[in-house]
Amino acid sequence: MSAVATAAAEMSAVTVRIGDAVILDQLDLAARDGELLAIVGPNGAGKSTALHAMAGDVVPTAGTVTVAGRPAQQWSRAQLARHRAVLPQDTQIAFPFRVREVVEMGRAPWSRVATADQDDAAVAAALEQTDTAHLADRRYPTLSGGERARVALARVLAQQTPLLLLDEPTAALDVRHQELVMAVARRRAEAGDAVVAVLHDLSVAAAYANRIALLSAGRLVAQGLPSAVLDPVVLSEVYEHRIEVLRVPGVTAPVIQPTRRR
Amino acid sequence: MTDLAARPATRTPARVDGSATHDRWRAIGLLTGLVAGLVVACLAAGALGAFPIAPADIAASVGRRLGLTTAAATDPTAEAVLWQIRFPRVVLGVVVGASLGVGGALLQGLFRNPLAEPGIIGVSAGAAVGAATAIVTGLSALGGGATAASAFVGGLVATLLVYAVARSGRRTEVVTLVLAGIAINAVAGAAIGLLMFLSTDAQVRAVAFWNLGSLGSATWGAVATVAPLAVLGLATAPWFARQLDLLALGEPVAGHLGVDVNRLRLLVIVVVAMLTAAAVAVAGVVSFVGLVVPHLIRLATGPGHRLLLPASALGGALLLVVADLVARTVAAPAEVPLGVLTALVGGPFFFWLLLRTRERQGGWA
Repeated sequence: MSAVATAAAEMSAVTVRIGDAVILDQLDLAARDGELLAIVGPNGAGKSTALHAMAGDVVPTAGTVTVAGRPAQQWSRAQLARHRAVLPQDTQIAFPFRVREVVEMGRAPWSRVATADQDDAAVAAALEQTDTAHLADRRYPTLSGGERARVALARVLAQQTPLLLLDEPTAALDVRHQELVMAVARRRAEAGDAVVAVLHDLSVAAAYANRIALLSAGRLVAQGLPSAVLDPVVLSEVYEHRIEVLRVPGVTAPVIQPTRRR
Repeated sequence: MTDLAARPATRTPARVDGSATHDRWRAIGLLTGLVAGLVVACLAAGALGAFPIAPADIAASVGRRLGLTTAAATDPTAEAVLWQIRFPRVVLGVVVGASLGVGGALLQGLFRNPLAEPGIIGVSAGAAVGAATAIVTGLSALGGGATAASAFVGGLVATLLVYAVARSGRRTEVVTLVLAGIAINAVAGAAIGLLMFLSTDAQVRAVAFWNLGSLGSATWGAVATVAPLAVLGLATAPWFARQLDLLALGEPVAGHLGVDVNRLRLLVIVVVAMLTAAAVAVAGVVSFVGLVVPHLIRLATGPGHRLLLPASALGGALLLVVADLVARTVAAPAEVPLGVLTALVGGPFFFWLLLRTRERQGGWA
C-alpha cells in the first residue's frame, strides 16, 4: 500500500455497543491527509463516539480502527500523542494554570524529542493562530467560555500532530471566533494534515469541510462532498425537521436552515 | 477573511496577576524564604523549652558534630538535651511535616481537587487503624518498623477504597469524595474504639495518642524507623509532577497527551499511603497540614506541581516544626497535643476555603 493511499485514520465496520445500546453500527469512516472531514448528524447519532473511536479512546466492540495504517491499539501512548491530538467538547482545568502553561502542556508528548526552541515556537504559533496571545499570562479560570475554547484549541494545535480530531470546536464561540477557528482547521488541512471535526452548524460544515459524513443512529447515512451530502430531503429525514438548503448568489457554500413555521 | 483579521480584536482588559517571568522570581523567593524559615524554626525549636539553650551554643554544638570546630562542649546538660531530646523531635517534625505536605499535594493533584487531604478523606484514619492494630496485637513489639508497615497497609487500603468509591465514570465527584471520607473516618473511628475496648490500660494510652497526634515520643529510633518510608516517598514524588499537571486537564486529555493514567493513579496512591503511614506511625493523626500548605503555595506561586511538590515539603516541615514548638511551650510544662493544635488552625482555614470557593465559583459541584 502506498503512503498516499493510507488513510490518516480509518474505521472499518466499527460497531460500539455499551450495554444493550448500539452507539455505532458497522461504521466505515476515513480521515485523509490534506482534508477536513466534518461529522454531522442529530444528537445521539454517535458523532463523538466515532471521533473517540478514531482517537483510540473507545475500543470497538467489532471492527477495526487504524491510525496511519496501523491498528490504534498497537500504538504506544507516547507515539500516538505525537501523531494525533484531540479537542474534547469541554475542557475543565482543575487548578488555575496560566494560559501559556496550558498551551505548553500540548508539548508534553514532545519532551525529550523536540528542542526547547521548537516547543516555544509551537506554543507561540498556537497562541497566535487562535487569537489568544494576549491572554497568555491570564489564569485559565478567569477566562470566558469562548476564550477557554480557543485556549483548549491552542493546546491541541501546539501538539503539532498530523491528525487533528476536534469535538465541536465552535460550540462556545461567537461568529468571529467560529470563523477564525474553522479557518485555522481548514489551513491545517490545506497544509497536509488530516482534520476531523464534529460540527452542529451545517452551514459551517458546508463552508469549510472538504468532505461531510452524515450520521444517524450510529450509521453512516451519506458521505462525500458537501454539495452531495447536504440534500434537503435527506437532511429533513435525518433531523426529523424540514430543512432548506439555500443557494446565495455569489457564495459557493449553501446556507442550511430549518424551516420555521409561524 | 483579510478584513476580518485586520479588524482590531475586542479584548477583555487583562487582569493584573503577574506574568510567567514574574512567577519565576516568586518561585525563587518562595523557596529561599521557606528554607530560611525552616532553618530559623529548627534553631528556635532547639533553643526554646524548659531548658533554654542559646542559638549560638546550638550552632557551636552542630559545628562540633560536623567536625567544623574542635572546641569542647561547655555544658554537658545542654548537649544531652539538644541531641537526645530536641533534635530527634525537630528532625521528626521535618520528616512528618514534609510527608504530610507532599502527601496532600499529591492527593489533590490525583483527585483534581484542592479539598483532598489525607485527614479529610480518611487516609490518615486508615493508617491510624493499621498502627493501632499493631499496638494492640503486640505486633509493635517486633519493632517500630512493624507499626509503620501496618500503618502503610491501613493507609493504602483506605486510599484505594476512597478512590474506588469516589470515582464515577472517569471523574471524581467531590461530594462523593468527601462523603466517602466521612464514612471511612467513621469506620476507622469505630475500629480504633473497638481496639481500645479490647486492649489493656497501657495499650489504651498508646492508642489514644494516635487520635490526638504528637511528636512527644520522638527518638532517633523513631526517626530511623520512618525515615526510609518518608524519604522514598518524598524522592519519588517529583517524578509525578509533569504528569499531575497534565492530569489537571482531565483524565481523557492527559491520556491523549501520552500519560498512562491508570499507572499514574496506582503509583500516586502507593506513594501517598507511604507518606501518610510514615507520618501517622510516629506522630498519629495530624490533620490539615496537607490541606493548608499546598493551598497557600498555590495561592503564592501557582499550581504547577514541579514547584508545588518541593515547596509543600518545605512548607509542611516548617509548619509542623513551628506547630510542635508551640504545642510544647504554650502551656508548659504541659503539652498541647499537636493534632489538636493543627486542627484548631486548619479547621477555620477549611471554612474559609469553602466560603471563598462558594463566593468565586458557587462551590464545588
